[in-house]
Amino acid sequence: MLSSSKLQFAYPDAPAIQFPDVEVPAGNNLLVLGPSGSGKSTLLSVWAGMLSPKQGSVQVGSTDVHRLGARARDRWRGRELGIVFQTARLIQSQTIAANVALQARLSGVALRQNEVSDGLERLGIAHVANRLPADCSVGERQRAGILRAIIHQPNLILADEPTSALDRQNAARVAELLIAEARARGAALVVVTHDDRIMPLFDRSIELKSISTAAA
Amino acid sequence: MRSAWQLVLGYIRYRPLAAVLSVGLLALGVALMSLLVLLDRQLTQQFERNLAGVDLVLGAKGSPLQLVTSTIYHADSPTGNIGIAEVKAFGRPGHPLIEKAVPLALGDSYRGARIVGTTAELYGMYGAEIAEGEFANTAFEVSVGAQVAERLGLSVGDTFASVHGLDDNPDLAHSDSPSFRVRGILAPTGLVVDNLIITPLETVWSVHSAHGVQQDLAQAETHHEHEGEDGHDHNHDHDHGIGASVPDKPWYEQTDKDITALLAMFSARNTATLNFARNVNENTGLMAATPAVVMAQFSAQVASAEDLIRALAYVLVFASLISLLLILLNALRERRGELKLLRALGGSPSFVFGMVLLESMILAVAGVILGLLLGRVGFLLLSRQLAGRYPVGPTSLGLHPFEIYVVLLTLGAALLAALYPAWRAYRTDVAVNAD
Repeated sequence: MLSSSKLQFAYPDAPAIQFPDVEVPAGNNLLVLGPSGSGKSTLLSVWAGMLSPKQGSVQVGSTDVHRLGARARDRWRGRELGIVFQTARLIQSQTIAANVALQARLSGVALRQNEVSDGLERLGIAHVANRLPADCSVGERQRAGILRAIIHQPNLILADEPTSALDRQNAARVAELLIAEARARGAALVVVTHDDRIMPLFDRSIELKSISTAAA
Repeated sequence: MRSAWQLVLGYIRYRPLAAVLSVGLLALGVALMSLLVLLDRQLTQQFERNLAGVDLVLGAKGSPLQLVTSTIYHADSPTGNIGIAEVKAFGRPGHPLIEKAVPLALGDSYRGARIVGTTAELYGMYGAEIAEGEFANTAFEVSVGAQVAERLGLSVGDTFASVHGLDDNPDLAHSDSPSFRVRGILAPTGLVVDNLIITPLETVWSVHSAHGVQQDLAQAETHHEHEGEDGHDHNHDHDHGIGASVPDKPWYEQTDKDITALLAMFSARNTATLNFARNVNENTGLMAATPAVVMAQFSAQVASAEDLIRALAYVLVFASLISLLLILLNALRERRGELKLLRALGGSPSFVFGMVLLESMILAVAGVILGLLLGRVGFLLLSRQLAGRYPVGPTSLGLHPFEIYVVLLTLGAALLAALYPAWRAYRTDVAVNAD
């Protein structure tokens, strides 16, 4: 489902970073480990179509992401991608239920009636549906962020350090939740993190040792 | 679009203080503008409606504005008194230029309501109809205007004593005079007649006859208003009373009597009527004032004050738009992370651009609507306050063309003010890890 090859990315006035080739079939998962500064978030942004590579391609299903125009890429990201952030990153002025439905609404994906409430129920946060994020615990916010990333049935779920702020027990719970939800939807899941505590839970893992500089 | 609405309304609810400040300032400016427009419309309408077809006012020499405001709008002291002998030629039927002439004798009041001695033609002039009882047609009978009756609780058959001038001063009461008796209550007209007590001319002449018959009625009013006690003995002997019949002689034949003014309506408009006032002023001891001209001059004078208030309203609206811009820029800084999130979740640059414009428009529309409502509430309160003293007629509360102009200008300016923050939002980078 996700296939990237010969990817290179360069920030302005900086040497190019070269990334390993990756292939994650639908329903499978991959853990990308690496220390801070190894380019994990940059790689995730390139896969998500938010940063354009200097070289190489990103294929998600039948879509060559970086061949899409800017507007089409926004639309693709909204419909086909689910992103889980390190901190839940919710809109503070919207309720948890509204936050969960946000990406689907932005992308014009129709949700089934009760899909949000069923999802909240399944993730054990139905009781905070009408609360603002500020009135919820870190764990509740994180689960809401995960539900937002999967509720519109994306083909690819990318997670950026989703467990690094959590203790071992909660980190494992969140990772298991992500893996289970992705598998249930047949979506490919890629988690980039420096948190190797969750490594045993994943099908595969790769490690970005340090920034590799490609020849200019 | 629905998402944008939901997000923007959420933002406004989440930070209500900034929204209240912005909407409140804008509403204040628009309300002030609205109030001015409504007052201007009311004044213009009332000026015109209360003219009641009067082309010329003849009175004692003095200020033309005072003559007009005291005899047409009953809002000032008269300029003095004139002998009927002097105006007989203008008052009697058959004058080549004057179709109708209505005499007024002023000087007394009852609890702040002006008593006007006149002829029955005054009712026709204002289209006044009787609501209760009958029109007064005998000395010391009165027809009471609708607002006076309501304010003073007067009913048909009630009696009262008048006082000199417009002050409600019991020391100036005509305690020796027969009481006035209410013969009828007039239906509301929305005109100055609602604030008057109307009686035949003979009543006023009778009340003042003990002063040597021809006491200067109008000067009496002015005098008592401004000086109060003057050593006059107001306890006069009168030999007239309720039921004293109105003399058979028409008023203009009673050349030994005085009146305060004569309201004249021309039979036609031509060069002769155009020069009529000038001829009277140059060739007689009377003053002739053309109400339309006098009021136009008066309006031109008050326009500068009105312009000042209007400028203040513009400044308020402008200040509120600046505050709107600052609020939007501040909000943009606070929500930078959220805008990036929206972009990451599939929101396009034009979506976040539209969101900022939408927020600005929601605040501006709320401010404008609130301002228009506040302006009207203020106008109604002010009208109620003024109703007892000035002729306040029914005025449409509909949108005035100038208000539509202000509304469009404000909304356009709010849109312009939002363009810069919206453009900055449009340029928001999409990123995974930026907060």
